[in-house]
Parts: sequence; structure tokens; C-alpha cells
Amino acid sequence: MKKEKVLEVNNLKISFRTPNGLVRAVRDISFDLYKGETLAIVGESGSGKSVTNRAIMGILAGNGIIDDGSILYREQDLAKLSEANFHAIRGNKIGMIFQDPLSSLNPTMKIGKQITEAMLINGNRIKNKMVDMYHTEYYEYLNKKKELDLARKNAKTRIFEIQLDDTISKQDKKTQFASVKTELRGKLSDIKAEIPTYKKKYIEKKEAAKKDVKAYVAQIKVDEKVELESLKANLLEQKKLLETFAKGSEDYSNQLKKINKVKDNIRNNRENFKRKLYVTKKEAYARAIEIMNEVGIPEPEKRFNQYPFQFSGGMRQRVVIAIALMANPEVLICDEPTTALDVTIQGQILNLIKKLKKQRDLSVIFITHDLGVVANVADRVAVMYAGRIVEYGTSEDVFYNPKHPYTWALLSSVPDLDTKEKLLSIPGTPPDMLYPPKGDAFADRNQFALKIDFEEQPPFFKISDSHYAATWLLHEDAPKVDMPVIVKDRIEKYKAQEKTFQQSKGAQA
Amino acid sequence: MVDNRETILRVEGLKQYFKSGFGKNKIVVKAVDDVSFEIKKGEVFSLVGESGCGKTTTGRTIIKLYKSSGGEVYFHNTRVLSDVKAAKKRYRHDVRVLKQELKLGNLTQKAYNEKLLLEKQALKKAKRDRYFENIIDESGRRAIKDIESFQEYQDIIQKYALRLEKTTAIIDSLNETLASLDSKDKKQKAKLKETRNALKEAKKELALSKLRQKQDIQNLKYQLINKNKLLMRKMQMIFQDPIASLNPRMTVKEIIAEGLRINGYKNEEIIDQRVIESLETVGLVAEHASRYPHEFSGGQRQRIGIARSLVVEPSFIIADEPISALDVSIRAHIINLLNELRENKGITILFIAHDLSVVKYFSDRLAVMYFGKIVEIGDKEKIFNHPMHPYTLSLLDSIPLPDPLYEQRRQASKRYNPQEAHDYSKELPTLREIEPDHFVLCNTNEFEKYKKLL
Repeated sequence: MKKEKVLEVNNLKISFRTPNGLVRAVRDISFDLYKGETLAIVGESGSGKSVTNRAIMGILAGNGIIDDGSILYREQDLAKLSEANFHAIRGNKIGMIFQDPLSSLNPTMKIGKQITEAMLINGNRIKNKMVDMYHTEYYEYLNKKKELDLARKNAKTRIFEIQLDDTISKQDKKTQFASVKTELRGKLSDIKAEIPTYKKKYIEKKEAAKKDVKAYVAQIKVDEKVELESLKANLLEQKKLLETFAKGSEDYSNQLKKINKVKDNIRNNRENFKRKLYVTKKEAYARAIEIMNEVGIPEPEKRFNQYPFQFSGGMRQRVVIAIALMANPEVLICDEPTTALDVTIQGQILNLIKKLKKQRDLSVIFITHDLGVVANVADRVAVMYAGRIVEYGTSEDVFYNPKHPYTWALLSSVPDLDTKEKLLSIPGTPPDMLYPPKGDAFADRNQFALKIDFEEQPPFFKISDSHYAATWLLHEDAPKVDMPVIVKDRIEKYKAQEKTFQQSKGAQA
Repeated sequence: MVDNRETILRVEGLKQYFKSGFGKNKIVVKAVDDVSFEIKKGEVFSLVGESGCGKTTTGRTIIKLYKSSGGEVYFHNTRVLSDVKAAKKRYRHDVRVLKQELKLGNLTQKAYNEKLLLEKQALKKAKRDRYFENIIDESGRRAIKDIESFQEYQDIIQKYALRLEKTTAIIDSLNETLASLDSKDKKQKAKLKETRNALKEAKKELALSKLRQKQDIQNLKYQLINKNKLLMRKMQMIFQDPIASLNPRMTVKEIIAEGLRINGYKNEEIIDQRVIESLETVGLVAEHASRYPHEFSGGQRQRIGIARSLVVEPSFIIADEPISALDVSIRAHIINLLNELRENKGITILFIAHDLSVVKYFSDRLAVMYFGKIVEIGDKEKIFNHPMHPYTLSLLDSIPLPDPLYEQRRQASKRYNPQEAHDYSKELPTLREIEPDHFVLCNTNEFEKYKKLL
């Protein structure tokens, strides 16, 4: 059964301009995210896992550039999307949960306000309606403008690269600069020539939309007035009737109730009218209470008016999840959501995320460095090292049949409850991404490294349909290498446990 | 099995309350409430619990970063932290008893006076022990006057005597040759110059030897006076966050040497040597000494923190979650390093953590804490084989393992709720021994229940 693809990252390359040169944080990674699955990205800090996800959210730091590749969300390339267009996706379609719940909440604002804030800000329904009417033309115009930016940025990085290259002589550099600049100028003039037609189209459509919306608002107002008048007349009638009854009689009290009902109707009518124009506070409150219940915050009505410091760590994380869920996103990115939490609370939050995923059919990208957590939540796992994915597969593939030496090292550096022997630590430090290594980035720290590892980047070798690893050890000419004893023992132990469990289950059945 | 090892640290009824507000709004938070345990030489003792249960506060109170609200700490069989309130109470009670005895005629006036004096001295000592590390040893002060009778003093004198004699002899002979030479003779001019230089050198060496001797004697005096300070120095701490615990404006050498300087070291050579030694024990090199903390990675920073605590040669280290702020790949480094220290140097470690798998791997005995109280304490194997207290069970239940199939079938982890788990309306719980070296906080009912489970 082929699942629906939600997000597709192709050959993504991201680098940061720093005074010392280009830091290549992400070097050519590709992955897919299907509907309703959890993809875990594992790796140590600095491996580029957070940068990738920030690029997906469109919140890269100012000096970060997407050099190459595409991030396709529903056939829309997020890497080339303009900021205004991103507003429709960020938060609405793709939500994000950050690592530290305390620093991602505003300490001076009540929780309720923080949860409803986004909904209220984006709540002008008339404006949204208008934007919907001309958005295709508008987005085309903005994307064209963004192309200008991209062209400039690309030229800048190229100049930067040429400047840092020591092999080129000064004279050559000058000529190269000139060629880059003329090329850029040509490109810019091409794009600039196209822009006015796009702008004209967009403005025409906008004017038309304005007219339509104005008429629509007028119509609503007229409707509301008519209905209000009829209700008011009704109220007057009822009041007149009330005077005919004697005070204290049963009819009198019944009539009073009727009047109150009519008054309520008037109030509801007004609220409904307002809701047609914008998101009212009442509406947002109801939605917030609903979501707070869903994420397991007890007594949401009381909690709504409290400040973040009155919440415990786990509860704060629940609030952050609630904020992310308010807009009903399709993809949820969790950036180490449990690292700052305790073991017991961690379990609760993981269970909550799993529950929400099932209920809402969410696609989740889960970033972490804790392998136990990965085993708990993930359907598929991608192991990242120095800006590349080194191994990916289903979680059973990666945990029961790891192939890359880095995965072995990760697995063997954590003790479990039965570990007695010395832990295998990974020697050395990750490579400096200012000067990315030529061959396999892990070769320096890898005791199984082959000669070719230092010279050439290994391609992905297929192990099974769902399982790939980038290491020369899988090449047919490579020597046979077994995984470290500590990992092997552990996997065998787990498998044996699983077997006994299945047997006992079978016996019970 | 009787454990013959020396007890390094004994904590008795340690309490740490934090107060805030006045009058009606006054809140007392019992962060640590009546905690007692013992740590034997060379073992690793772990404190486990969720955040906010008081495990870090316990560590910090033991090393006197907080003023304790009660309880006593014995370190190397010396009381380093006393409970003044309890001492006063005891004093009043004892004096009352003594007065009564005197009234009844069981005691003579003389004996009463003697006993009263003893009581007063005990109270005074308790008051002084609260600021143990700042108190100058009186006996040491007296001893300084009579320093020549000390063996250490004689050793120092002997060590330098031969050298001093030799150099004075050389100086004498050089002086003689100088006197015999004629300054006007051109032939002898070169030799004259040579002798003069040699004389200069010899005098320099003599002065240096004398200085060294003086320094050594001063050091000995310092050691005699500051016995208490030197004892407290044997207790050191490693902090959780390697970024926050290192001063960004100091070089690594300054950071590490700070402890030595506070402890009265003035000789730069010795300080340099000790700093480099401690850097090498934690796997860094001498070149790192001149750098600043921001130039290091997380794991290296934690190593600097460990080097700082090792430089004063402690016998006991409080490691406050030293690995929880680190990356997975670096955690193994630090655990292995601590293990080496313990094996090679015989250092005792109080390990504070919330990760049970690391605790199981690393420690010998452990205590599980919940809201300021120890709920289960004892030998590691026994606790992990027969966990009894529901809180320990829920902690054990929540460790995620790198085993996807197991994780998938694992039910949602049990939550510990003290109101549901226990019925303490009739009888309050106390720590009881359910098997040798395994104590659980429970009342009689629960005790019998746990016994059956064994």
C-alpha cells in the first residue's frame, strides 16, 4: 500500500555565512515524510538536524542560505517561497514544538492569551476572504520578487566562495567577480522586466476582490439589521404582554423567562454577526479549552488565566503542544521536546504525542539524541552525522540490524540496565564544518575505517527495500566487519526477550 | 557480610527548608527532610529522583553551599556540620536532669560543676562546628610555638641541611681563591672573572635553598593551623552545567588554580605543575591551560570542571548530574573517566542523577528520593532485583530502551500518586529493612506485604 506523501526533501544543502567562511551545516540530504507516520532524526548536536527542520519551517537564521535542493510540501517548494506566502503554511500547516518549554513561552503573558494569540491575530475573516480571492496572482507576484532576492543571495555566496579560494590568483578573481556581476545583472533585468505585468494582474484582481468583499459585508450588515429589528420588535411585544399579567403570578414568571430567551437570542445574533467578520474572543476561548482538554491539562478554565511560572515542566510542554495544535496543522516538528524533562514526565509527553498523532493522523518529525525515545515513538529513523544522513530505515531495521559504524557507536555509548562492561565511547570530536572532509565524515573517529573512507564519500547501499546505509563496509569488495560485541549482545538479548514474549502470548491464546 | 571499609561520609537527619513570605503568606518548602545515609570508602553512591525531589539540594547542603536547617554531617569521622538547634535542646534537657540529680543529692557539687562544664563545651563545639571550615585549630596554634619538636619539621631541616652545607662550603672555597688572586695581574684576569661569576651563582643557589626551606616550613605551619580547612578541601563538587559553572573571563589555568590559591599555595611552579597534572588525568593537554572555556566543546568543558575538583586531591566528589547536559556520544567519555578516577585514585563519589540506566551501570549503592525523603535505599543489585516502593517501580518503568518492539508493546507508564498508593491514615511510614542492606519507606502493613514479595 502506497502512503500519501506529505513532505519531500530533495538534495537539500544549507550553509551559513560566517566571518571565517561558509559553514556547511547540511550537505545533501533527502527524505520523505508520509501521512500519519513519525520520522525520527537522530544525531549529536551540530549534526544539522535542527537546521534542516528550521529550513522546513522557514525560520533559518539571517546568515543561513539554502544553496540547493527543494523542500516540497504538497507540491509547493518551501525553499523558494516568499515570506508572505510562508505565513499561510508556518503554524497553520506545519507546527513546531521547541526544546525548552520555559524559554518558548512568554513569562509575562497568561497562558490563555498565548494559546489564543495566533488565532485572534489571524482572525480577520473578511480580510482572509479577500486574500483568498486574489491569492494566486498575489503569490505569483511575491514569488517573482523573491526570485530577485534569491539571485542576489546566490551571487553573494559565489563571490564569497571565490574570495576565500586561495588557488585563484588576484587577477583571475577580478575577472570572475566581473563575470558573476554581469550574469547577475542580466538575470535581474530579465526578472525586473517581468514584474510589472505580474503586478498589474495582481492589482486588478485585488480591486475586483475589494469590490466583491465590500458588497458581501454590506449584505451581511443589512441581513443582521433586518433580523435584529424583527427580534427587537418581538422583545417589545413580549414586554407589552408582560404588563398585562399580575406581578407574582405564574404567567408573569413564565413571561419573564420568555423575555430572557429573546434577549439571549439578540445577544447570540450579535455574536454570530461578529463571527462572520472576525474571530471573537469567545470563539477562541472555546477552541482553546477544547485543545487544552485534548492535551491533558486538568481544569483548563482555571489554567487559562495562569502564568507560565505556575506550571510544572511537563505541563508547560503540554501548553506548547496546545499552541502548536490550535491551527490544526498537518505536520508537527518536535525539536527535542523531552530533553529538558524528567524520565517520568518524558514518558507522559511521548504518550501524548503518540495519542495526538493517532487521533489527528498527524505526520511527525521527531528530533532527538536519545535512542530510547526514538525506539518509543518512531516508525522510521534517519541517523544524521556532520550534515548528512548516514543510515535510514524503519526503526526495526535500524535498531535490530544497524549497519553504519556511527549507529553502532551511538548504540554502544549508552548503558542499559544490564550493561556491565566498559562503555565504548566515540573518540575525537565531530569535524569542523568550515572544512568538510573529503571522504566519509565519520572516518576519523571510526575504528573500522577503510582507506577509501578518507578519499571518497560512500553512496547509499541498499540493505532491504526500506533500509539504506552510507558506508563502504557494505561494498562487495569490503572486508567483513562485525558490529561491536556490546551492541550484538544487546540486540540478541532484545530478540530473545521478544521471542519469549511472543511464546507466552501464544501460550495464553 | 561485614563491610570493613572506612566510612567516608555519614549524613544524619539532614534537613533543608526554604522559607518565603511572612505571616499568613509564609511558605516553608521542605526540600530535604530528614535524610540519612552512609558512604563507604571507594564506592559510588547514587541519589536518584525526578527534578525537584531535593537530590541536588542534598548534595549542596553536604558541601555547605546552603546553610542547613538541621542534621549533622560526619566526614572522615569528623563532624563538619552540626545541628545547633538540636544541640541546644539536648543541652537544656541535660542541664535539667543534672539539676534534679543535684537536688536529690545523687551528685556532689564538684561532680555537677564538672559535668555542667562538659555540657557547655559540647554546646560550644556544636556552635563552632557549624562553621567548621573557618575555624582555626587551637591545638595547631599551640603546636606552632613548639614546631621544632615535630618530626615533619626535622625532616624539612634535614632535607635542606646537606644542600645548604655544600653550597656554603663552595662559597667559602671560592672566597679563598678570590682572595689569593691578584686583580692587577693580567694573566689572572680571566680566572678572576670566572670565580666571581661562580660565586654569584653559588650565592643565588644558597638564597634559593633558604627560600624553599622557609616556604616548606610555612606550608607545614599552615597545615597545622588549618586542619579543618584542609579536611573540607577533601570534599569537592562537579556541577551539572559545564557552561554555567566555568567563569568565561578566566583561562582554564586560572579556573583550575583558583582552588589551590584559596588553599594557600603561592609557588607558581608548583601551581603550574599541579594544574597540568590534573588536566592530564582528565585527558586534556597542557596547551589547553591558556585557553578560555568558550573554546572547548561540551564534553571538554565538563572535563575542565572535573579537573578543577581534582586539583586539590579530594577523597570524595559530589557529582551533580555531570552528564545530563551532555550529548550521547560524550556521556560515555565522562562516565568512563569517572570510573577510571575511582579505580586509580580510590575516590569516593556521590552521584546525583535521574537516569536509572546510568546509575545502574555506574554505582554500588543508591537511594531513591521523592519530595525530600528517601523512599528506598540500599545495595544496587538488591534494589534493581526487588524494587519495592511504588515510586521506584514507576521510575524503573519509564526508562525508554533502544528496542522498538518492546517500546511498542509497553503500556503507558504508571504514574506514582502517593494518595492512591499508600494509606498512612493509621500509621506513618518509617524506613525499614526488608532484606540486608535494603531499606524501604513503609508502615507495618506495607512492610509485611513487601516481605511476602521477596
